[in-house]
Amino acid sequence: MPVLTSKTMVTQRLGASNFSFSGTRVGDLGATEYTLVGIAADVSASVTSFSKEIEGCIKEVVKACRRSPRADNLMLRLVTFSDRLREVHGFRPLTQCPEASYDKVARCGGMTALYDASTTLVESIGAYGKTLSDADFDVNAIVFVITDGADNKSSYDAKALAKALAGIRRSEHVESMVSVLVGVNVADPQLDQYLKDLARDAGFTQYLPIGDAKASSLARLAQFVSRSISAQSMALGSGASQTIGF
Amino acid sequence: MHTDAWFCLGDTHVVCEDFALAGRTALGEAYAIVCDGCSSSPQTDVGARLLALAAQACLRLGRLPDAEEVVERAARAGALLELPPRGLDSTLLVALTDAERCRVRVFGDGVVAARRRDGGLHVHRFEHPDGAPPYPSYGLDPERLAAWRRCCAPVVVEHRSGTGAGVGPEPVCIEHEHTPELTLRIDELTSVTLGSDGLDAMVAVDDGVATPLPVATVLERLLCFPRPQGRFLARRGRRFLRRECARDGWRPTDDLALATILWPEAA
Repeated sequence: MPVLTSKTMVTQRLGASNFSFSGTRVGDLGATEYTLVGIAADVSASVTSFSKEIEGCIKEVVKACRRSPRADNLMLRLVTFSDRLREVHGFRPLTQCPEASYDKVARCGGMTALYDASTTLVESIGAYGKTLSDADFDVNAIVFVITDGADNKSSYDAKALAKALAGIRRSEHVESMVSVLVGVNVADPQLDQYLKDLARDAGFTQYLPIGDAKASSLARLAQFVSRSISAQSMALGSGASQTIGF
Repeated sequence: MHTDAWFCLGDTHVVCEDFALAGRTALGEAYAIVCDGCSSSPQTDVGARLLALAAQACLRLGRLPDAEEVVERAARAGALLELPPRGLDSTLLVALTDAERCRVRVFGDGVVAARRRDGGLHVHRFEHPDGAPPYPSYGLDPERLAAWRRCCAPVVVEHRSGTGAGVGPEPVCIEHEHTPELTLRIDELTSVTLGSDGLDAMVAVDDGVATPLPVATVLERLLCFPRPQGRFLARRGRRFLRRECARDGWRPTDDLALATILWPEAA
């Protein structure tokens, strides 16, 4: 079941595109600063064999983040992508992200709209970051794009993704942003090279290849993601980004 | 109508002895409270909070409290915690709205700022001429009250200044022999803010030299709310201190507490 958008969420269109995202209304936010966390998870057909593990990974990230001393200052947006993008939920505080709401979130099938998912995820950070910054919130961000394959479906291209990432770095609304491209099950050297090149050309902060999709590997990924989120949130106010090793 | 409150530690303090609250009564009226604990009395950070909560209990009933009932209620709570009686040495500013008015009472010292619909800002700064404000807690101890009366002028001085209609070029000075009370017409306002005297202790530091900033200058910068929703004052205050003051070399030497009632639809 997706987490349903409630009365506390507002939907915002991304530029002139057909993409949109939702975020919690400013008046419903209790803290004065937030780290925006964006996760885009690949649920194309090739992920079917380890969809449970991907789901478990997302739940583990949410669980770990809720234990973070910065939990009250984190907002999470989750998107899944195959042929199309699906916003599981928009930017919302972790208290409104119960683990059970991620059951069966990875409904797999179709192709891989990797560029669309990544670009719009980054753009949503920029747009919502501006909304918050205009209302005197301090904001930084971290995004994770988790995929097991190359793009074969997007309307955007790698240049659009690079432009979106550069736009965030230039803007003053989001103090700093860490972006991590995670390649799961990248035993194929060609795919690994493709993702490595994409991370470099688009300007991701970090590329993280994971050779297999075993439960233990994805559990480690969950730990890495949650620790990265905590570290970036701790860096809010310093103007710097904070990355950690896998 | 929105309300919010915010307080922060000043550069020269170890514990923040200021406190602020704001909210709505059951009937939808807005209230605001600011307390500033005396630095030379013990544990006034706790006392200021007790005083604010005691005042809130009255305000929630739709009643502007007097000093005695607030301080007696706070003293009962303080006694349970074995708070020294001097721990309640704190100023108290309260505001309560009704359909037409916002009434403010000032027990001690502090600042009341009214942003008007014409964009002007009327600032009422209350201070004691000897720097010894008449704390409501003196009413609990006749000897302390008598001692204060012996050595201090029994008045509170109000300095009126600001911008917009109804404000002259020179500040106006008014002496109050009783608890100062203001009655402001809501249909002329977009906001009312209560502030502690920390507003009067902001300095601009340039080349190691600290120059006091006029309260009106600080308030003009501080009281602009781009999105008057949720914790609008807390967000504004934090950004003001962390970014704007850091950029311009402004520093809060004293604790600061603010509580605002806002009518954004009137802006």
